[in-house]
Amino acid sequence: MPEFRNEADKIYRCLFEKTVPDDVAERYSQVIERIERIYPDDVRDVRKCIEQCKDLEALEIYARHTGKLPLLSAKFKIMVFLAETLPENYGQYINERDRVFLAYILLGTSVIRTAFKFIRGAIAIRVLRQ
Amino acid sequence: MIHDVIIVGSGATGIASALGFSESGIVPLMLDVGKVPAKRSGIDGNFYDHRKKNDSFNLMIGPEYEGLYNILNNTSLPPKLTAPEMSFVTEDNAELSRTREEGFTAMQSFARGGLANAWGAGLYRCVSDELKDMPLSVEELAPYYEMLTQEVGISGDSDDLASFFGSVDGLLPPLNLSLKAERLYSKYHKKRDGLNKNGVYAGRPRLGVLSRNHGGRRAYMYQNNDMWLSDTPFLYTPAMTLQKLIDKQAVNYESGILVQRWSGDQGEITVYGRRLSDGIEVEYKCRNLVLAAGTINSSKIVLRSRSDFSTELPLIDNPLVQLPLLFPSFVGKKLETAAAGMTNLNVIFNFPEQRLQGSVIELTSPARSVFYEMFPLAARDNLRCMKFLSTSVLVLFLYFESNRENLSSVRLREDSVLTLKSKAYSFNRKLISRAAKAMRKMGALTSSRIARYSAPGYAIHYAGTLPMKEVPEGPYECDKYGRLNMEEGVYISDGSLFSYIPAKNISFTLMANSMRIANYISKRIRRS
Ligand SMILES: Cc1cc2nc3c(=O)[nH]c(=O)nc-3n(C[C@H](O)[C@H](O)[C@H](O)COP(=O)(O)OP(=O)(O)OC[C@H]3O[C@@H](n4cnc5c(N)ncnc54)[C@H](O)[C@@H]3O)c2cc1C
Repeated sequence: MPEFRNEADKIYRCLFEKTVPDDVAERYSQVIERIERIYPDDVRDVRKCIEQCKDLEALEIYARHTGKLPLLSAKFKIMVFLAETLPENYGQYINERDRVFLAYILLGTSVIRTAFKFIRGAIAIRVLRQ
Repeated sequence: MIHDVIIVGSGATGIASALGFSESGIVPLMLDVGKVPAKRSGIDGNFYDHRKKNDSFNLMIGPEYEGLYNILNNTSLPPKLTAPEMSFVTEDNAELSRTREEGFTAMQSFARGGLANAWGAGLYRCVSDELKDMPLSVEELAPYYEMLTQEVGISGDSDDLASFFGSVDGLLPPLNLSLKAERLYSKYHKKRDGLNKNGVYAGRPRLGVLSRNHGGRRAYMYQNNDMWLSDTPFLYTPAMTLQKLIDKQAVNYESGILVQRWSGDQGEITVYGRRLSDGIEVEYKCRNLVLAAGTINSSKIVLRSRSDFSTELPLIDNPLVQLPLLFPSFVGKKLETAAAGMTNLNVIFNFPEQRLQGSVIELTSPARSVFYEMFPLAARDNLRCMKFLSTSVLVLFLYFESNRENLSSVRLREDSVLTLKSKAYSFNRKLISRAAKAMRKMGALTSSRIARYSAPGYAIHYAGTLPMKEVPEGPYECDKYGRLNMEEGVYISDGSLFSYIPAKNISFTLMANSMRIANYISKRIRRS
């Protein structure tokens, strides 16, 4: 069981609503200490956030836009890159059919969803601080 | 043994030099660090077909996590340099050439074939007005441009850009355009008169990518794998010519040597280096030394040979701006997995103030994850944008000419660390707005407000440290044949010689100039 499996699972679920595959968890665990070394001041807070926060995606978008916890966004990015290499995720990354109408609808709702997540993130960070 | 010629470096300019000597039957010794790819993924075929069926971790991320380099080091290297199989291009840079970067990010390579292993192979001739301030004419370069065109195999077209890109002789047909590029190009043709009136011209790039089989190499198959593989026969790299020259015994190639300095005495030059396998100091003797170690390393070798730890040599590069071009009708379209994921078109903005060159790049080669962080939305929404929006975007790399305002510098410290200094480049934003407006006329949604201003050094076209002058003055100028002033038999043969770089990928001209210099040295050797 890789050391960072739970963390990997939380981030993966956030992105893809699925359990993290073993390979990805393993690869994530192997690299994650390297990124933690770049942001040593964030390590404790970010680990705590990942462990405790119910809506990690909300926290991440809020942190990204307010310049807080860059380590959290870096961990998300790493997961995005690692997950892309699996054939089972191909469809999550590559648009294989023309879906113009659906795309516009999804992009429109994405903006609204992001705004909502941002507000939730602002609240979540306050709760975590207390 | 005293060699007639020693060349330092096997990059684009070193190889062009060796090719030049081979024309005259002179067999130089080439000293090089010469890193080679350690691993090959062995994929053959379309990048996307491969990914559908296989775990691509080794291909895209790599066992050392090379694919995450930018995240793990907080940098923004071009994606091709972070492909695991390309890691040899920048391998051991930090140990082999220690630098202190104060505002200037320098890309160096100690690979066999140099930086060009990862280049986009945009290979453009200069036209007369682009060689200003230099004791050099297009006519002098013409025969070498021609020989190199044959050697490399360059695709291109006789179109509106011919007057900016020079002779079309010997070009292979252009590559196919991607659907978005096709849309842009057809809009250009519809609005051509108005655009031309404003100094805007579009056409096909000159690429060292084969549209047909050429010189025993296979043509490009539109498989989007060239970014990930180090041995694609259709995309020219100088390492190909090196292998040919080695096979013909037209060059003696010695790798694993880090050249440090030279000393000269009555026409005999001693080159001092370190053998990297065991750290032993080695010496070579020659009558002519050709430095083609890339602008930064050639300058370092010169400063070190003179034990000069105070002079700041001037360093130039092309200021570069990246402008995303969105095509709304392509949002949600399927990704064109068989497009040419490289420069599809060039746009020249021949403005009265200055000429800019735009390269319109199709983005089908990199990992989609590269685009994830470019959107400002929540993680899962960014994934959607990445999937549905990235299919509708091209990017315009807009090159500015080098200018005195944006001068950087390089200095060697006593502890062998190179200091590279630059202040942030200043850009003429009005020109960027005008370029964006022209691109809108061609159907792209864009604005100068979303332009990304690249940091000094990002264009990777370094030059100007040891400029070529009609009458060289002082110890750091060269004559018109690259001979370093106050030295007997030491020639500079790379970007260091160019005190000005036009808004253009300059490597092809550096290569032609390097051949020209080799030809001059050959004649001198024959005479003596
Ligand atoms: C991602 C990318 C895309 C690019 N795209 C383009 C493009 O489309 N068009 C274009 O014109 N240019 C492009 N370039 C730039 C182009 O690659 C360089 O301008 C060109 O390769 C420089 O060649 P060079 O021979 O001067 O030096 P390098 O390529 O830097 O080669 C230096 C050589 O010298 C050797 N060396 C260095 N120091 C020593 C030493 N002390 N002792 C022994 N050997 C030494 C190295 O091993 C290497 O072989 C691109 C570059 C990159 C990285």
